[in-house]
Amino acid sequence: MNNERNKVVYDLDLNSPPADSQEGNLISQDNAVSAATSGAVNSHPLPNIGSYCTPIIVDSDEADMLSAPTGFPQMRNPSTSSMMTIVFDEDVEIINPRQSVNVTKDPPATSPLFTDNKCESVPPNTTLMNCGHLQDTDAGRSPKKRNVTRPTQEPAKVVSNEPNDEPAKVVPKKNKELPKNDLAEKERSNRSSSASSPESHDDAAAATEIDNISSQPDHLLSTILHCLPAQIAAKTALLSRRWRSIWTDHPLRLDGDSLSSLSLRPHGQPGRTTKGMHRKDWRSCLITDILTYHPGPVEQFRLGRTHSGSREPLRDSWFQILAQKSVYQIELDFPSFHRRQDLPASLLACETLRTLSLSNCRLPDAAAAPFNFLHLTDLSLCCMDLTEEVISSILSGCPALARLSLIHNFPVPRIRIRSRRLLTMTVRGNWIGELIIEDAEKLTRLVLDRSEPKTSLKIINAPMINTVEY
Amino acid sequence: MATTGASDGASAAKKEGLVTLMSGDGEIFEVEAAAVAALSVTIRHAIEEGFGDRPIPLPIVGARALALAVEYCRKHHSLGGGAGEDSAAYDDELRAFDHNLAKVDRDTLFDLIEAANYLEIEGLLNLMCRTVAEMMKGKSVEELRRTFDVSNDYTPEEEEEVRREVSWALD
Repeated sequence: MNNERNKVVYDLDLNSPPADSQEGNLISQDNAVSAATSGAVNSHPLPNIGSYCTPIIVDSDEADMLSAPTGFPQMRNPSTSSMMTIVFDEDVEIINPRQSVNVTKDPPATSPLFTDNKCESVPPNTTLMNCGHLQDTDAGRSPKKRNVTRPTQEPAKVVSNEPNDEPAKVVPKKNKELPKNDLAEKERSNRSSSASSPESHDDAAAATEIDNISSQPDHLLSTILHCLPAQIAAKTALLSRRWRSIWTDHPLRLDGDSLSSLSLRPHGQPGRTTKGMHRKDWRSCLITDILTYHPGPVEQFRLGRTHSGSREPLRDSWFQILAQKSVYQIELDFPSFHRRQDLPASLLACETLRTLSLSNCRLPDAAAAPFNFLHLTDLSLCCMDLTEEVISSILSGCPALARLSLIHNFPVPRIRIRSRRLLTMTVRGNWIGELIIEDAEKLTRLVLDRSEPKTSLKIINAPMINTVEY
Repeated sequence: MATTGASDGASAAKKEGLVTLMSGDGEIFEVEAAAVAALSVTIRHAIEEGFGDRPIPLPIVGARALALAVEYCRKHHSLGGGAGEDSAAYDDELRAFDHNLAKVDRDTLFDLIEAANYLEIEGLLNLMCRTVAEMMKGKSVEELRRTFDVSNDYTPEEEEEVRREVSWALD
């Protein structure tokens, strides 16, 4: 049966795209579609092939791929963050005095209650969270909060809706202490001795309030650094030895567009030089410095929008360093076609790449160094001058490729797709003459933009395909 | 309609679509299983492992942080279907909700980070880490030390070495 299916050749004439595809109407209702196309579609044993949109069916393979980390794996280990002891006794106030509530002391984490409890010993301060069928039972007393109220003002109402007829809310006080380490204990005593205005936010007060960042496990501090531009994250290395080690192990995400010239100075010389700030190639110098001095791995390297204006060439040395540092993701999205950038050949040495996005670049000579990204799963090529041979060479050099986007590239008379792992392919605005899916056994989804009016599509072997979408 | 209390707890827990969570400080929350399981990997796994009809212990998550985390799950489940910020479903209302949630006081902020980490609610963890990151922006090293009460344990030589390493980042 497979053999038979393999021989089915679709010749979908895209010169006559359905006029009504905007709302997903069936193509068979459209007179513009050639009879041959409809016949091929209808006779095929697979469902849903046609030039209309269908819900995307993600098969388990694709689901796996989609859920697989495309960047560095998040280093999360809940067990490492269990260094706190929760105190929950006097720091409880009873909102509704009509009912006195026995606050159940928290059982220790190792208590059998936590592992073998069948609710017989549910404490009286049971709280129901917005259960629909219970919502209106206490409307008069406890206003419903579908939206979060600021917990600093009324934490109880954020916490829950009390469904009991005699609601008595047990609420941790606003400033309840959660001592987590000695430092926190120290701060606690500090605070109690001068506990006049814990909410004031001047620097002095802030210094006594915020002590718990140090009690966070390393991987969470690293996650925080993840949210910062490299320039700010790097500063934290100066805080203490611990922060330095977090910074040096932290996978670098370097976005060339977010760099600021204020920090530029010559190598190894303390103190800022105003001369450096005015160098035309300050961004390139800064990128070189960062890549040179950051000892850890590189997760992401982005460059494009601002770099394009400087007319600075991409430096070969960057990609040599990126290759050494096992870079996962490179995005070089230059906005202007007239300032296309030459990609250094050393880009092709970054064999650990998972994601590559190129826009307005010129590929290095494929004959000198063929594409060979064994782990690459996501490739986006935009506004590039590609040929049939280059695309074939890319596909054969990226055996793990799962998602391919070809967008607004130079017109190509013909593209042949042969890929064993390709799941999704998006083609938009390339003016491709002929798109031949020769062999893509896992391809499930093909998105063809309607700006490909001249493209004729032939599917020779794509047994899994279930969606061809405009 | 009284459903709380020790005698009713068991039956309440078995109500269709609800799951019982127990915070580290012993508070019981009954929440919509679909909402929390969609957002929290930890709770999803716990339900899969048969915790559906008994309280799921969350020993290091305080009641208040848990309440906020559940609220986050519910909101994101109902409005955004649990999708991330990049999705089309992440609309203005969710954005406003997240924005408000990030205004919690600082103790709660770090409690929420720990809770989100333990419950494996990626969106909440990222939101809270971003909030802390925002607090770090625009501060000098000295200001960072003061703000986060980090004591400098470098020797002068070590500090000079690190200063060279990150010279490109210093104002």
